[in-house]
Amino acid sequence: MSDLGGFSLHELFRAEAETHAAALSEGLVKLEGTSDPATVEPLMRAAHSIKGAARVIGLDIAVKLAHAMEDVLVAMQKGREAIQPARIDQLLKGTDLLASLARIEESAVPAWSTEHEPAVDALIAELRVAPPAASAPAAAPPPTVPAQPAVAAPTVVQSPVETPLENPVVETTAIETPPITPPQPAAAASSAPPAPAPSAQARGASVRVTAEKLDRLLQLAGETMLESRRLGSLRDETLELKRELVRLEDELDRLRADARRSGIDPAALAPARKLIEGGRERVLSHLLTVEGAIRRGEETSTQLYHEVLSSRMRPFADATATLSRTVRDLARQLGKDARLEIVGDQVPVDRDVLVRLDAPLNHMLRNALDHGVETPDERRAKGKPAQATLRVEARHHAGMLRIRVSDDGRGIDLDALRERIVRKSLATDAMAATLDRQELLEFLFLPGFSTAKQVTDISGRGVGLDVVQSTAREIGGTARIDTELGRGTVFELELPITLSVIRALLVDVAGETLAFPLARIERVLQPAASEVRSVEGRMQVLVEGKSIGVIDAARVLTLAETRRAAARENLVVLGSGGDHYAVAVDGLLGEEDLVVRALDPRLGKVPHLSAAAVRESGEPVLVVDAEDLLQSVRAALNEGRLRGARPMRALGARRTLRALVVDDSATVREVERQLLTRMGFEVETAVDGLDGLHTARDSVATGMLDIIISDIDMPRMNGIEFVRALRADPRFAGVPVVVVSYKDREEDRLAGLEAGATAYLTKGAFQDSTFADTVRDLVPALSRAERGGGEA
Amino acid sequence: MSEPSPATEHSTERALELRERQSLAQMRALLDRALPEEDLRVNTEIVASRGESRAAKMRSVLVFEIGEERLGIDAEESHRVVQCSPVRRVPHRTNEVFAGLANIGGELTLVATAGSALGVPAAAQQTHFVVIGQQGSRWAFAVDRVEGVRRIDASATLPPPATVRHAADGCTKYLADIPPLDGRDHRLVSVLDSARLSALFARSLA
Repeated sequence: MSDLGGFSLHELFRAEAETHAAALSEGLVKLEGTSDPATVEPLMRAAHSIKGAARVIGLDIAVKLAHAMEDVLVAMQKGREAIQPARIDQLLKGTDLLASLARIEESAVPAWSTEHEPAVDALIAELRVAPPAASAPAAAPPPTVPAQPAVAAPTVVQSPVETPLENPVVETTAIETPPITPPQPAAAASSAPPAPAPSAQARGASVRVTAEKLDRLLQLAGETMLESRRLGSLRDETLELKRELVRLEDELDRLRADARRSGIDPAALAPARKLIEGGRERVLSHLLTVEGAIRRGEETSTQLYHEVLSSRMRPFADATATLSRTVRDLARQLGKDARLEIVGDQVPVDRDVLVRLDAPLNHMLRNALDHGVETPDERRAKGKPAQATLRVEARHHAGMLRIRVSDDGRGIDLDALRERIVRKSLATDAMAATLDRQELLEFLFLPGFSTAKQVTDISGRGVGLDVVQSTAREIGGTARIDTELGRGTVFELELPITLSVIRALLVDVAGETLAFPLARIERVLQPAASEVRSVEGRMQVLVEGKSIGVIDAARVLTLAETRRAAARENLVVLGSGGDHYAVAVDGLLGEEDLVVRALDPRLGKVPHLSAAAVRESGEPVLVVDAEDLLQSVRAALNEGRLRGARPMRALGARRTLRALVVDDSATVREVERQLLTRMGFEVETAVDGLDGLHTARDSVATGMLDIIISDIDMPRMNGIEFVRALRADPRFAGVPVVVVSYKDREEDRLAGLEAGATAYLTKGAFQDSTFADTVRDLVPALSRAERGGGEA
Repeated sequence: MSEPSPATEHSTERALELRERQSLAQMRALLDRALPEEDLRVNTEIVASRGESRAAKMRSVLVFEIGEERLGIDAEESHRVVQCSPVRRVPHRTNEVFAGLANIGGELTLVATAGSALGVPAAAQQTHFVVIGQQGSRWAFAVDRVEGVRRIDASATLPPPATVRHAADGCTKYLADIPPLDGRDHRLVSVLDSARLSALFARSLA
């Protein structure tokens, strides 16, 4: 049992029950839509598997429930029972019970059983009798109805613990081979009712391996590949041996000529020659053997490596399994009629990306059902089919995973949205008027921004669409919305297919090999050193008529104090949002695909680095966080400019109060900046915790900050980490930090204060004077300045 | 000297043979006699106690050199010894003690400069990494030369004297008298405590 990778039996049951319950849930909804008895079989097997697994660990309550469900499914498959929504509801109820059992710890099982036993028994009783509406529909032929109790009766008599002999266990154990479906191009994946079997079966046959173990396997597979490449030296040595023998042969030939000249019989040398010839032949055949072995070893180990790498990939279907159910239940609840189409469920996606998709997909669908989709009556009145269609499409596009979630609902009224933005004081009238379509829609991604008229249970729970954008950003992707009034709304996510392999440019910086992700590189330049000129003390290079600042990688990364002189510079141009910087490196080593790993946690957050990797040659490489590098460069250059300006300011009558605003939302940043500027602060802004930390540290050079305002949920470094990092630095010990977050639960507040925040406000604080009052309380110098009457 | 007569020769031979037989019989009697209770008890004790104390008193120490120092680590505390491979310096982190990252058996391992940590000047060229610690807290450090694993009598170890130069860092677990294999005079080996060594390395990252 120790080979099960450290899982207890109960944990294995939980994993198995979870998988099968998901398959049941998904399949039952499909079954309801298609009423095709052929689709029952995988469900039957799922129920049977749960029963088997429960029996192994002696979980009787699950055994009897799964058994009763299986019986109904068998009846449906054999055509003894019609497929009806009421019956599906019962089965879904049973599935939910099993799923909830799969979610609890072993220790909680007895309590669960006691609590749910009555419900389970009641449900089993319902399942045992003929379906509630079975006699009503004309579709069910009369003879079937009386037949049902007759068939069901013996099953009731049968003790649920007994294994029915007609169900060999082999059928449902992991012996099934997973259908290895080759990744289909998105275009080929049909949107027609998809075959229900593959995903359910594929999951049923899967084996759980911890991600850690998989990573370790990948490392070992990589090392095996390297080792077999190193064997190449064996071949080289054998080759050298062969050359030596050839030289020996030449030497012997020379000797023979000498011998003949000096009158000695050259035949005396014949045995030696024969030996050498024999040796050469043997070396040659040995060489062939060695070469074959090396080649095979390399091929196998490379294959192994790629296989392990690809085992991280799962079909997109893994992320969509529960969506049909969500849509069905939600639509029912809202009195709406909608169906979900999933396109591209076989598109392979890295499991790390997959697990991140759950929340955003759910939110987008909830949002579409709640706000987008009209009621059937409304739809009919507009001349649309009563049933709305939601589509989730996944495909690979230009090396990225593109996910579209669309509905054919009412779309978003941009004018109403504009009004709402103004009403929420997120922008002034004048500012809102200038916002274009995309900019307006961006507001939907703001924390707590909801277009619903009232807060509903479905999608207005404080967490919302901002999850979609923040998740996309965190894994290096983007999210955008488009809409057409009356026609529907589309969300589009563009995400990396995998987080574990990146294409990178390898460079040499002060003798170290570093990798820049290609996705972040604008271009690579190799100008003559004379083309890099100093302008106002800063190095610049002219590219297509534009002047780009040059920074020295070795110095920024603290790898060397001085630059090596070279006739040609190697410049990697990075850019974002119109800003471009050229990073000078010591050499360009070429492109390579790198399997990246997280940096050792003991190193902490290393500035300017995002990951580490091992090259094909076995050499370690560090992966540069281009975004982070750009930000600190920008901060450094800004600081330089500020420093030049400061002496003039210092001549003024009073010290300028300084504030730092850290928030990943441009809108919130702007709101806070305006408020603080109006109060008399000089405001610096940063886009996330890491940027905030850099900015705070850099600003120390020009004087102390008087207050810091920070959000909590931010990419790269969140507010909690940011506040902690600030508090760990004695220079910021006395600076008040106000956290402004949409999270208003008590535990969030406590977490913020525990990290070291001075005050914790929710974003509603902008609507009244709470924010301004808090700032005034925390910065006494401000009130003094205001009393002194310098305030604009 | 006259030749001995064949008769005398013969009788001498026989006498010798007889004596031999006698002594053999005596010896056999000695060996065959029943073992006195007391002897059995004492012997059993000796054999039993020797085996026990031998196992308890021997320990395996991985002995290596850094600069002029002969150092060691209890063999069971070392994870592996491998040939040196390139160490990648880590921007903003590499310092006197933390050297960087190396690929050791497919694992990117943190590498420390043990010489700097312990205050021992190392040679310019180092040959091997000694890897210590569990996965997740693993450290490698380069050494100038590896002598190998040496079996020592635990009774021949000494507590570290308070005045040992590098005892300030408190990494020496005990001193052991292990004669160098090449017959040099430098017999004493400071055997390091791997946990304390790891902690010392980790401090360089704080």
